[in-house]
Amino acid sequence: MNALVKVSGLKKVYKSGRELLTVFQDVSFELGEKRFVTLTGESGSGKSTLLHIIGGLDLPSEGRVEVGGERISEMSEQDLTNYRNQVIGFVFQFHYLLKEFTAVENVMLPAYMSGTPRLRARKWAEELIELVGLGNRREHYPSQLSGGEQQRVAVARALINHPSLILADEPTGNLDEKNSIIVTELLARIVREQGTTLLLVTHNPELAAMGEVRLALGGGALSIEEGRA
Amino acid sequence: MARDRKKRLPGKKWILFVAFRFLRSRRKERKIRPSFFSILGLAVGVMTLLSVLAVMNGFQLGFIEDILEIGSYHIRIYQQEDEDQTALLTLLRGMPEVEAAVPFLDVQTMIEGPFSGMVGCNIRALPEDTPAIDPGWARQMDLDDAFVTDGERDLIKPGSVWIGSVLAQNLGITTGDSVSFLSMAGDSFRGLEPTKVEYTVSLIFSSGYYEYDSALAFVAHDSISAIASGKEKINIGVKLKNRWRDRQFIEELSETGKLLPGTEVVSWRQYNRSFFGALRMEKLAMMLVIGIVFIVVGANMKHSLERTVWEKKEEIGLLRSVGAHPRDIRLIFLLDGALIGSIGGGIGTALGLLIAENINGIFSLTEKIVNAVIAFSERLLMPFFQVRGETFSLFSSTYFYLQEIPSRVMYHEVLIVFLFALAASLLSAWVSSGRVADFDPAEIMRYE
Repeated sequence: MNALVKVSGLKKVYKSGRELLTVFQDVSFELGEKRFVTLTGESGSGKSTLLHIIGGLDLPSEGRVEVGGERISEMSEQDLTNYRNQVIGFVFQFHYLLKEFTAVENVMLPAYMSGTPRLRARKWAEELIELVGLGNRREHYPSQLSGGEQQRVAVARALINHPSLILADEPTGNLDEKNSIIVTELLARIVREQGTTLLLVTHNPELAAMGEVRLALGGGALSIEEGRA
Repeated sequence: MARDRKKRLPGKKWILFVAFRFLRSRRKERKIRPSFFSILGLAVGVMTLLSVLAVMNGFQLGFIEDILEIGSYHIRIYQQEDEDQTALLTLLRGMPEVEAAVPFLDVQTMIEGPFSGMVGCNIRALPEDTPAIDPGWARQMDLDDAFVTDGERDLIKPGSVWIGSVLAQNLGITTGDSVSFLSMAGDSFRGLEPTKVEYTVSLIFSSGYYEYDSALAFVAHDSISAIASGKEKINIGVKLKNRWRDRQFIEELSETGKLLPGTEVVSWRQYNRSFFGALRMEKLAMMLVIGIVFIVVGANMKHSLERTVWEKKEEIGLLRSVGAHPRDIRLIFLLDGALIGSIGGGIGTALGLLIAENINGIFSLTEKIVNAVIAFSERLLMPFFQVRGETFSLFSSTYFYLQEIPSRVMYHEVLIVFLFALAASLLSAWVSSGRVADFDPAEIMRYE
């Protein structure tokens, strides 16, 4: 198995007033390419923090993270910016779509930011909007879309630069059951069809059970379980 | 669907795309945004500054042109006594930069009308055909509108005098009347004896410059000998086609070698240094005082943009997480500031120019409105009180020596003011967007 993500000896400590709060420590794991990985844990166990560190949005207190052979902690701000744009696709619990842009414009933005010509970026975005089943809603603004539709647009946005790793932080946390299933199936299909590794944070045990690799954070440590549950 | 991912150089066009979309969406929102007040503040500042500058330019350039065309000339050439000026005048009039070259002589004396006391006066002797050889002088003297006796508009005839309108009013005279100038005859051994020399007023001019209209008279060269002591030197006044080339002209004149030893050549800048310096200082002070408004507007805009940056915290977090550098996001807000500066500055410039070009119409309209209100109030109060208000006038001729408010737009100043407004808004945007780098995207995107 080629390791896409290598995490070793990771520790995160937050300063809370005068006290130092250790969120997790000695976290090590490897994730191969084209894997569907789930991450569970209680609130405050550091799931989002771990995701942000892998995604280059946060820094670890100790340890190192390598994605695609590149060590994140040694990257310059410009390299981190390119890394977030090219290698990672984020899907957050809240869609964070820009309200001033239509669905297709929101999706095309990361590609446009990477230097892709506008028309080409838009064409790719239209293809992705079709893929997530919103072809007839592409010119709608986020305020004109339902919660599930907004999150599907966010998934399409995460895919536009064809990332190696999608980091999804409880993407169904704000959705009803029906929309949760739609979004989850969509993510699973993307892993199958596009060969992307998905690291999905979830509280939902059924969803967590879908992972080929299941990570669980608890008591400041990480446990790993492989194979279908 | 599958695409090869190539290493791309980050493009910057998206910054424009996002910045303009942010602003466009703001315009669509119905409620008044803080940027509206920034644009309004800038527009008012620019409009005020341009209007005040135009009026100040109108007054100052009016003074300067009156002084240069009527009084001081662009170049003054002081020769030694009793030198023949014909050769020098011929040389000067042949030089391509020269518009006019006029011999003149100034004498300070007293003037008396038939029914008035004596008042001080400066009398200048000029060639009879000065209106023809010095058209700038004729134009600035407003000779076309001057009071004249028949046929006297083009020639200063011997025995006649042209005097200023205020001086004529003070002496109680009109064209055709006689005035007497005081001349001191005799010598230092026997003592000086005052005698009166009589002239006929053939033209009353009104240049618009009070100092000249109240204390200046012109006679022909042939007439001055009766008043002058004979020791005064006749000087030469030169008008240039471009008065800003005075220094080069003086150099060229010196290089001809035709100037006699002892000849003094003085530029209008030296001759009027103190007065023109005072005018420049006055204008600078006024610009600084009004320029303070940009500090207020800049501070307002800084707060407004800081608020916008804070409101767009989540958008900033999202842009960071999909690959925007903090520098790029700062550029979005700088563009925001630039657009606010351009819109505010543009509106202010348009309004400022409109006011400057129609200042008299605006004042006249204001007077009409105020007078209509006064008239209405009078009618309303008439049954109860015997009131009779005066007619309101912004610039009454009783108090101001003005026929109309002069206004002159100098386009390089318009550009400077506009750029200043733009710079103020860019500076505000730069300062207020500084906190973008402080935002922690991980903290912002933690949806809890």
